[in-house]
Order: sequence, then C-alpha cells, then structure tokens
Amino acid sequence: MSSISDIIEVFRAREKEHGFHAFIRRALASCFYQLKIYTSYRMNFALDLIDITISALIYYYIGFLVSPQDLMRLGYTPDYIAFALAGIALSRYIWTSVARLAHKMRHEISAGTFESLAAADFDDFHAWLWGQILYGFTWSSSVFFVTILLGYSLGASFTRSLVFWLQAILIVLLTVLIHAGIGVMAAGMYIVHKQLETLLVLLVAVIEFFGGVLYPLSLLWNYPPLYYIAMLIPFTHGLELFRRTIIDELPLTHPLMLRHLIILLVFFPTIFLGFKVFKHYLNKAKKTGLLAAY
Amino acid sequence: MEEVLNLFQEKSSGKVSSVYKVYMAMLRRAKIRFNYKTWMLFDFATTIFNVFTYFLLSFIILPQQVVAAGYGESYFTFAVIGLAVSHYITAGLRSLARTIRLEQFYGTIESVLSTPTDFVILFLGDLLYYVLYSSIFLIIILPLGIMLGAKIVVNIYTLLTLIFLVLLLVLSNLPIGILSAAMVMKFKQGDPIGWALTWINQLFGGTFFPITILPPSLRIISFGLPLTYALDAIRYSLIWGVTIFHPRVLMDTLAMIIYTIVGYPIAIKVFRIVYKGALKEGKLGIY
Repeated sequence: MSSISDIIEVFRAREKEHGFHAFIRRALASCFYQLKIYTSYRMNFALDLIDITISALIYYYIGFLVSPQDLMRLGYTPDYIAFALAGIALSRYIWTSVARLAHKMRHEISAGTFESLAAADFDDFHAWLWGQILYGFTWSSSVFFVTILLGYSLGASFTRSLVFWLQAILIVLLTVLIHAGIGVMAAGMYIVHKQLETLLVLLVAVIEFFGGVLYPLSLLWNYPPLYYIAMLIPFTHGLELFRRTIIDELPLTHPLMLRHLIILLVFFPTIFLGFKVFKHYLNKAKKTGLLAAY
Repeated sequence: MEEVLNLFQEKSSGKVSSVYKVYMAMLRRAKIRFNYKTWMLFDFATTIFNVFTYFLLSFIILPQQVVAAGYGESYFTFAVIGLAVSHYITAGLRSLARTIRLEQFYGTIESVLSTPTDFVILFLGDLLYYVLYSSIFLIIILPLGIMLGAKIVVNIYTLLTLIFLVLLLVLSNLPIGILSAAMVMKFKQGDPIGWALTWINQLFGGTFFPITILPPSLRIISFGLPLTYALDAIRYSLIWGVTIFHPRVLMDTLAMIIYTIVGYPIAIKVFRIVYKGALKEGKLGIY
C-alpha cells in the first residue's frame, strides 16, 4: 500500500471483503491515509521534533535545581532528568489515545467527509478505528523514541537491559490500549454529543497532572483527596510501572509492580466497552440522522 | 458583528476615530476567538495545572541557585511569575504573524486590505486582543500563586511597575514579531520563526529556571532576548517590592528600550520590502 490510489482502491472495493486479511488491509489503509496527510506537512514534523528537544532541555536544566536526596526520600533514584523524561515520553501517548479520535471525528464531520466514510463502511468502523489507533500509536511512538534517545544523550540513567526494555514496551502497549479504549468510547459519544471534545481536552490535562509526569506522586500524600484521584487514573499506574522498569529495573513480579499491574489490568475491559459504546452511538446517529450534523 | 463590518466599510475614513477602529478590530478578533471555547478552556486548564505542577515540584527543589540569582528562597514564586508573564511573548512575537496567516488562510487578506481601514489598525486591534488575553492568564496565575504560598509583594507601586514592564516586554518583542510576519507573508509556511522564538524564549529566557544555571556559552543567547530582562525586572520588583527606579530594574528596562528602538526601523523596513514584493507579484492572498 504505497500510494493514495491504493488506499482509495481498498475503500471503494465493490465487494465487501470479509475475513481477517481484509480487515487488516482496511485498517492499514486507514492508518496510511492519515500518515500521508501528516507527512505532507513536513514543517509540522520539524516543529514537533524541536518541541520535544526543547522540553527535554528545559527539564534537563530544572534537574540541576532538584534535590537528589528528596527524590530518594520519596522512593525514586536521584536522577530527575530520567524521572521527567520517562514521564514526558509516556504522556505523549495520552493525547493520541484519549482525545485524538474524537478530534479526528470532529474534523471528518466538520469537513463533511464522515458520511462518505459511513457509506463505505460495513464493519461499524472497526477497521477504520483500529487504523486510526495504529496511526496515533505510530506517531506517539516516534515521539517516544526521540524523547528516550534525547534522554540517553543528556545522561539519563535509563536501563540498558534488553529484557527491561521488552517489559517496558509491554507496559506501554497495555497503557496505550486501555487509554485507546477510553478514546474509542469518547469518539462514539462525540458523534451524538458534540460538546464532549471540551471535556476530553480537560480530561487529558487532568490525566497528565494526576499521573505525576513531572513530580513524584508521593508528594500527593500530603493531599489525600488528590492522591486518591490519582490512584483512580490508569495512566498513573502505567507511568509508575514504566518508570520503575526503565529507571529502577524492577521486574513485573516485584510486589510494588504487581500492585500497579493489577490495578491497570482492572481497566482492561475498557477496550471492548469502547467499541460497544462506539457502535451504540453510531447506530443512534444513523437512526436520528445526526451523522453529519455539526 | 454587523457593527464591526459597517465600521470597516465606512467610506469617509475621517468619520471614525482610529482608536475606535482599533477597539473594534480587537472586538472582532475576540468574537472569532471566543467561538473556539474548547481551546480557550484547554489553555486555562493547562495553565492552572501547570501552576499546581510547579507548586508540587517546588517541594523537591533546592533554593540555592534561585537565591544566588537574587530571587529569594522560593522556587515556586520564581516559577509562578515566569508562568504568568510568559504568555505575553505570544502577543509580542506571534500576533501579527497569526493575523496575516489567518487572513491568508481564509482568503480574506485582500478584502481586508481593500477597505479604507489601514492594515496597521487591524494589527493593533489584534495585538490589543492578545495582550488582554494574556492578561487574563496573569490575573488567574498570580492570585492562584499567592493562595498557594508564593511570596509576591502586591501594592500600587509594584502593580504599576508590572504593567509598565509587561507593555515594554510586548513592545520589545514586537520587532521580531514583525519580522516573523514578513516571513509568513513571503514563505507562506505557518509561522516557523514565531514557533522557534517561542521555544528559544522558553529555554533561554529564564521562565522555568534561573539563566545562571546555563553554561556561559549558552547564556549569551539569553542576553540577546528581551524576555530575559523583562522577567528579571518583573521578578525582582514583585519579589522584593521595588519599583522601576531600582538600579537593577532600571538597567533591565534600559535594555528593553534599546531593543525596541533598534529593532523597529529594521523590522519595518524588512516588512515593507516583503509587503511591496507580495503586492507587485499579486501573491498576497495566496496561501
């Protein structure tokens, strides 16, 4: 699938292709057309790279102000640059997982292309949604790798063990899938409730704040209500697992890791729930003719 | 909105005062921007969460470097003032470029320029809007910071000094903003200079950490940015309760004034060359 005409061919295929192979082809087409749009704005890509570099450098210099003793007292290694960059790297997935799909829906609906997509669709947008999730994951992963590489070059003490990086990738996948479930659910609700995007934008800010991207979560112990809110957010657990893996090299069998992993797995059904909710709202919009209303 | 349109259509230009037109241009931009409530809400929410993040971060920060730079013992106070003021950078650096880009993008730049109203009036209106919008952040952040324990001296003298320094910050960044707008007009590629400068300011201007942490070779960049002087003066005034007449604040003010005086003729000359070139080639409305 290398050109736009290939992508169009996949979507205009007259006979409904069923089966796993056809599903993958349609999902990849959905991902590739989004990638084609993104790569046509080369300046955006360069700006994204500069943005990551500047963020990394800001926290590199803030790291000189941070007290290593305080970080250790709060249960972390004294390396703030590793602490902050691990948080920033994982947080890049949150916007794409939670809010990007609803944002994309708004774009398709306001541009008047959502009805055309619905006319070509025969699997309740499953392939299209998975393609969009794959695109979001690809984009965030590029940003993630650049952030981690910057971390290494700035002297962050990330693990060099392949085993722990494999564990970290597993944690990232799990965290992204769970948040993608929330994102699919939100995208479905957006078809009917157009004001939802505002809430999603707020939700992303809330998740990033309570997740402890830039400060140790233990600081919230002084504010119990805030600490309990943080504990109810899956990202908090995903980030703790990720940090403990790539900085402290803790295996998943460690009691602290197991606790966070179990809580994270509690949120796993959101993936299936997300698609159910999407289907419900899609059918509702089809029945009420709200599909293209903006 | 109709009132705004009628005003710009006014054939006899002497009938309506320029100040009123600037006000209406500001209102026009505000009405457009207030349609995008989502992003405004996002801006405010992110800012409030930023204040809380730096509040929590301040618990693990050693005060030595902040004390050595002359800003007292509280890192949170240091960061909160940086956060409150940093929004004005967007007003100074990017308002004109944004105006041109938006008008080009929506295909309205030629219509705007064909009215008897000077483009400068529209630009000043937009600038006023962005300054007022940035002031909302200042009004939210400073009291929130004080509530969370930031040690800021608030009295009539420090407030007047703050207003003066903020205006000077916007004015001293405006020449670069004009150059950035010229590049948007010429290359029609978003606002790369505006973006780059916003980031350079964030990193080297001393928004989140004292510039004394930077290696001397990088600190040279800081001394070339008006934000460095503005932040130093504003912080010094709000932390120690001094006014514009304090030697350190006065030196910073002088640096910003020099920047403004030297920057304007160059920026306006470049802008005129690019503008006339675009008019001659008929590419003003092409995006």
